Amino acid sequence: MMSEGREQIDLAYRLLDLDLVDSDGIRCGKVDDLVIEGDPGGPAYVVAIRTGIGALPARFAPWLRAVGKRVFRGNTTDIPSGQVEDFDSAVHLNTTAEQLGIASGDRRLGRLFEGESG
Amino acid sequence: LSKFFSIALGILAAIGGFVDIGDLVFNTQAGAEFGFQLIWAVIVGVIGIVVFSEMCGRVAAVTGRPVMDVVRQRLGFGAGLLTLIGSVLLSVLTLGAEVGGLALVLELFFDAPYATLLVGAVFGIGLVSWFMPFDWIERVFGYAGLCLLVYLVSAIDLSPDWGNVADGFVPSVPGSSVALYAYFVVGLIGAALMPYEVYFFSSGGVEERWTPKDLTLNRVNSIVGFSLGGLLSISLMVVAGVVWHPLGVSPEMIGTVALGANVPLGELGLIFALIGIGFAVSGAAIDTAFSAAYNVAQFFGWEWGKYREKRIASRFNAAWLVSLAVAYVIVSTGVDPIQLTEYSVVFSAVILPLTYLPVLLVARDRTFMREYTNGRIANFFGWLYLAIIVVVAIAAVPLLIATNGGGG
Repeated sequence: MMSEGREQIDLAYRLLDLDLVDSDGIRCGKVDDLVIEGDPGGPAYVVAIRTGIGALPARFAPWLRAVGKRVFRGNTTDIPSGQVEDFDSAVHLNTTAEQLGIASGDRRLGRLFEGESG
Repeated sequence: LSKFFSIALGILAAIGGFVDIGDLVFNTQAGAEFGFQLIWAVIVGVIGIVVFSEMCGRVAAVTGRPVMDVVRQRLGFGAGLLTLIGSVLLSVLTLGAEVGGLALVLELFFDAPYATLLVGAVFGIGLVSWFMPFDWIERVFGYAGLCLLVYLVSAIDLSPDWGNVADGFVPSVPGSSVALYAYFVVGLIGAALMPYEVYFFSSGGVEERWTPKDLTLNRVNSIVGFSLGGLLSISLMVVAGVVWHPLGVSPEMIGTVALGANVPLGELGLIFALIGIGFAVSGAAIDTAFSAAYNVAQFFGWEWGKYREKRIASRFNAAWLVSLAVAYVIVSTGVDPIQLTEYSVVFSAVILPLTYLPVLLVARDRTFMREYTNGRIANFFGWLYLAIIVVVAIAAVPLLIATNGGGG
C-alpha cells in the first residue's frame, strides 16, 4: 500500500493514527491507513484515507495478521482526499460522519442517551 | 488577582487529589516496615510524576492531543494496542481497589454489611460521575481530599526524631530484608507514577482546551501541586514510622491507616483522616473510570469527553459505565481491596515505559511541539526517569513473587 520513498514515510508519520473530525466538529474515527497511488519512479499521491477497524489487521506484524482479522472484523471506509478540509493535530473533513457512514456506533448507542447533557 | 486565586485553587485541588489508595497503602506499609528509610523513594516517584505530568500537560496544550492518542501514533498500532489493553485492565483493577476502599471507609461510619456498602459506593461514584460537571469533580474531591493534611499535622505533632527523618531522604542499604525493601521502592515509585494519572490529567487538559497560554499554569500546578501532594505521602510514611514501626504492626486495613492520625490527634484526627481517605479514593475512582474510557475512545477515535453531550460521546460514556460495572464485579468476589491495590500498583509499574516513552518522544519532537519542545533539563530528567521506570518495570513482578506480595 505504501511506497518506500522518504516523502511517503514523512506523510504517513504525520497522518497515520490522527483523529478524524467531521464538519460538525465531532471525532468520528482514526486514519487507520492511507490509500496511495502512483507509478513506479513517479510521484505518489494520497488519494484516500482508510478508516474502520477492518483496516487494522494490516497494521499487525505478518505473523499476527490472521489473529488480527478474527478480532478486528468490520467495515472499512475510504474517504477521498477531496473530502479532507485540512489537517493539524487531527484530520478535518468537509462532510459529516453520517454522510460518510462512519462512527455509526456512537449514533446507534447515542439514542439511549437522548436528552442527557454532558 | 483572579488569576492568582485560580492558580492557588488549582494547586489545592492537585494536592488534595494527589493521594489515592496506592499511595495510602504503600506509604503506610513502607513506614510501618522500614520507618523513615524509604522517604527517598517517595521523592523519586514525586519528581517523576512532576516531570511527566508537566510534559503531558505541555503536549496536550500545544498539540491538543492526550497521552493515549500520542501512544498509538508513536509506538505504532501493535505496541499501542498492548499499552491500551494493559492500561485499561489496570485502570479497572485500580477502580475496583478504590471503590472497595471506599466501601471499607463507609463500613467504619455505618452499621451495614460490606456488600451493601460496596453497592452504595459504586452507585455513588456512578451518579457523581454522571451528573457532576468535570470542574466540580476536580474541585470537590480535590478540596475534600485536603482533609488528609491531618497526616502532616500528625507527623509534626508526633515529634519524630527529625535527624532520622532527614536520613530517609538519602538512599540507604537495608541490613536485612533486601527484597522487601526493593519491593517497597518499586511500589512507592509505581504508586506515585500510576499511568491512569497522566491519562486523566492530559485528557482533562484537552477537555478544558488548554493552549500554550496555559503552560505556566500547567507547570505551576504540576510542580507545586504534586510536590506538596508528595509531602502528604511522606507524612503518611512518617506517621506510620512513628506509630506502627516500633510495634511491628503492618497495616492491612484502611482503618489502620486512618488510626495513625488518631494516635496524636484523637477522635477529630481520625474523623479527618477517614473523610480525607474517603474523598481521596472516591476522586481516584472517578479518575480511573474516566481514564479507562478516555483510553479506549482515544485509541479508536471515538468522540469523547465529559463536556460533550452524552448522546454524542455515547461509546465513551458507555465505556466508563462498563468499567465501573466490571470493577464492581471484581471487588464483589470478596478480593481484599488492599491486596488488589498492591497488584494494580505493581502491574502498573510494568507498563510504565510504554506510557511514558511516547510522551517523551513527542515532547522532544520539534515537528509536534514547535518552540515548546523539551529543553535540556526536561530532556535530561525525561531520559533519566525513563531509565528508572524501565528498571522498576523489569523488577516489579520478580519482587512481587520473591516477597510473596510484600508479605516478606
